[in-house]
Amino acid sequence: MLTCLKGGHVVDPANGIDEVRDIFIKDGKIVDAPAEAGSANETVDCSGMVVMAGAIDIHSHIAGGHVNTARLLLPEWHRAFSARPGETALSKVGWTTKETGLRYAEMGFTTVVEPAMGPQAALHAHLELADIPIIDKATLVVLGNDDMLMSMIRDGESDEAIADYVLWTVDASKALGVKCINAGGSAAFKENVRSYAFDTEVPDYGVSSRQILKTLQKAVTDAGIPHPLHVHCNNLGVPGASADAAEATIRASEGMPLHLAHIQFYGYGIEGRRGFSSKGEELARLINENPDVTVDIGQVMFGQTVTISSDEMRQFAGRAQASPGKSIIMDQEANGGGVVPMNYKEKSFFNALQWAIGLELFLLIEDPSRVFFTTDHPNGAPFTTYPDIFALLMDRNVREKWIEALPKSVKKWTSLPEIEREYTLAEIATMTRAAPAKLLGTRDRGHLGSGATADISVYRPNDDKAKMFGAAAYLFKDGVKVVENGAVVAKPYGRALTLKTHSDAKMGSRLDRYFDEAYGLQSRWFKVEGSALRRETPFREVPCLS
Amino acid sequence: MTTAWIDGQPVSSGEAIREAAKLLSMSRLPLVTGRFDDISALREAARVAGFSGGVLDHSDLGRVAPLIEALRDNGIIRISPGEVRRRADRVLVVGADPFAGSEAVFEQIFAVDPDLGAKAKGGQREIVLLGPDEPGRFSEVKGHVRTVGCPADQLGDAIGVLRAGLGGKPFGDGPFEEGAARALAGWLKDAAFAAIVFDATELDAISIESVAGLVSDLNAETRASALPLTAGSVYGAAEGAIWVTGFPLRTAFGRGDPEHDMMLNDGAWLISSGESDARIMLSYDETALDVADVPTILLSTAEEPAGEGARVIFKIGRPGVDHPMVHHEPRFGSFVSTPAEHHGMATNAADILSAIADQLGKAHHSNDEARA
Ligand SMILES: [Zn+2]
Repeated sequence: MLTCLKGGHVVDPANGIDEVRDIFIKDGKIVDAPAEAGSANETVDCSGMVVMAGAIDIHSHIAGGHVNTARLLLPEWHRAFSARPGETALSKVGWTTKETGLRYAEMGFTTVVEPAMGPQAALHAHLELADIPIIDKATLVVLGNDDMLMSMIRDGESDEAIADYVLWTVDASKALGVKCINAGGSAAFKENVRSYAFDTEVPDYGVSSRQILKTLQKAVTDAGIPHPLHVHCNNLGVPGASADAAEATIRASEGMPLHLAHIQFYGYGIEGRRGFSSKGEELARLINENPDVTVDIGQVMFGQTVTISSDEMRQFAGRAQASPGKSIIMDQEANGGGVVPMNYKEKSFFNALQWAIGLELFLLIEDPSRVFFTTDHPNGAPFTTYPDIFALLMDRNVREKWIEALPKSVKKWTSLPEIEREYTLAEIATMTRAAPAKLLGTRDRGHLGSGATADISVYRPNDDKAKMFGAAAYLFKDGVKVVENGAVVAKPYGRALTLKTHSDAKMGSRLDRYFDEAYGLQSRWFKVEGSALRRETPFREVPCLS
Repeated sequence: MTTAWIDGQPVSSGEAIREAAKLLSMSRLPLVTGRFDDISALREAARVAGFSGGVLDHSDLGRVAPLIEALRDNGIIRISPGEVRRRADRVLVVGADPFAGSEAVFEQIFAVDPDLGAKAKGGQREIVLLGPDEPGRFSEVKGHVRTVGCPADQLGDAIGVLRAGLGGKPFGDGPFEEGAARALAGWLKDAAFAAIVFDATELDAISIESVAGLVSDLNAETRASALPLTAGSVYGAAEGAIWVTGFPLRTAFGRGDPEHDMMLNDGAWLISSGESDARIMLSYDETALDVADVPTILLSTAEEPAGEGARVIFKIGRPGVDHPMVHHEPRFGSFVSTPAEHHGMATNAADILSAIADQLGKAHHSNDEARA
């Protein structure tokens, strides 16, 4: 069957297209226009509408043990979803795997990456992903606080052996890439270290955060994993130390690709009587000058949310500010982590400045293919706030209104009111479609060229950009219409995108012994079997770089 | 071989599935319950409850309800067993025998000396048993074991006293001998890494919150973490239910959005009060069950499950034996998949539940859960 999306304004920066034209779909793929005009079996009238590839979220905590712990800790917001829809952004998310898929689809998203899957939580994460309808998913597996890696570095093992270990972990956990979260910080915290930075050594191992990060960066690059090492730097959220950590990490990229997550949480200086100021301009300049580095923002939006992180040290420190005042902190084999509720208040100087710093970074980082659209869901805000963030980026007047509502003292401390830039549709499409696909190595998506997976979002233009991006006029997933007028009309299951790789047999038998002797665990428990997920096609493989 | 019966008469599984769906769809408030050892069955059971407007529960949920309550009302700092094994130089074991039913975890932790941490490694583990005065299974472990006597019904008080002792506040000795509480609090505080292990099915929510409070206070200056043990499959089932429905079981789907209530949606109460007028139940019990109280659809592993008074019966395989299963492995602190021990024809309960859910879904004209 040939379907024609007729007469839409196609915004496809990956292929240099920004004009009115038809898009054809056949068997779940985008195909060239047929030789005979009018031979389509089905025509969807898109005239007057904007047509883009399905959006891709590269960093959103949607599945796994820690996310599930947050659901356990905060049932009241689920109840809020049933009884008082729309009260808070978080309550609009709902609290289940199903809601996650539906809400993303309604906004025109078709691929979402869960960025913090512990090797031990891999099956748990994939079970949850398998229960999220419509969208495709992928995961990043977390290394960098594990005894195995730190021991290998300490013992001076070869780059090859370390790459084998990394690939074994990626293969076993069915991940797409690797993330490193406060490298060595959780391990140091287990030794009761409370202050930790890029060149601090982890006690008992004698390896520094820098060494761990550089080792993983090299292993990921050598192994041909398309997505660069995804880094959560040290000292997240700490005024002064956070900006130092980001700067040190950016400078340590040293010509190899590196992705820095939720950079907004590192844009904090110590000026002023409150000891809290914006480093947004400096950080943006540094990123502009370092082409190896990509970042996502982790935008803060106001309202109740919950922070979910495998940065155990940071979450432990943050529990003092928990709102409501309860939290769950986890000591586990590698990273561990924590779940701490958080309420960002518009009237708080600190929270308002966090909001402004995120937007400064969005707007001052010049290349839309190196800055990615995230709230670090749900850490900065739930993903249901995305429509408002699109409006803030695309419309200076909207920003002015929001700034008016902030405490007056905030304006002195941010350059945001002076920034005139407004994102264009093409820049939005680059940031949320073309660039993420390239960054993840998923070349079948993020664009509308012939052969691409037919994940296509269609929006009705509106001066109110939040309205436009909040409800897709249509969404096609693998060529099937799943959303119409902002409402889900079909709920097929997508797949998890996994890296096509293989693991070294010798490393496999070494790890069989290691997990048994060190932890009393069976190495097979780390392996995700597709059959356990009860979906016809649980995975789609993404090739390594050759 | 017959694997399905209606009113004791052998039928095809297709007939039984249609009859089960009919019974559930006609029910005012069906109860979906049992022992969901296999998380695959739990995921499908949630669909059955959703499509039939029923209540999803687990027959053992009452055992972990205090833990769930304590975690969500108060929070905790907790640790995985593997990390206790390697890192905890001091372990406080609370209760008469918290490792009963968790023998594999016991073996995992105590078979070796701690070997991680600048201060902990190279030394022997110190273990204090806070409970009735006998070492039991600890008589042969590695490490130094001693007992601090405490009656089982005063464990919660004892933890409260330890917490006060830690804070240096004036406090009574409670169940402790004079000076013992302060000494024990100091012992925890001086650990390289202290672990407090307890059977979460034996303590009430207040006592669990007390343990969490003690651990929280210890972490002001040192490192300590709690390990709640919950033998059996129920905690894993609650975890699974949380992502599928948003809540740890005892969730009703009768009014559209899921509603969770530990008391109102207690399966046993729903049956005894007559609130539920039908039930679908998963049983691994080999003995005959009395299910004559309400019309019941029974999925049973019993050798000859017919003739137990159930309206519809399916004979199912044993998870992890006759077919693969996905379950929560306490040693791992997460889910694992286990292959079947042998290849056979036995039916997977998840497939039966899935077929019943599909049948119910058809009646809803739902486009849900197309298996793409
Ligand atoms: Zn994150």
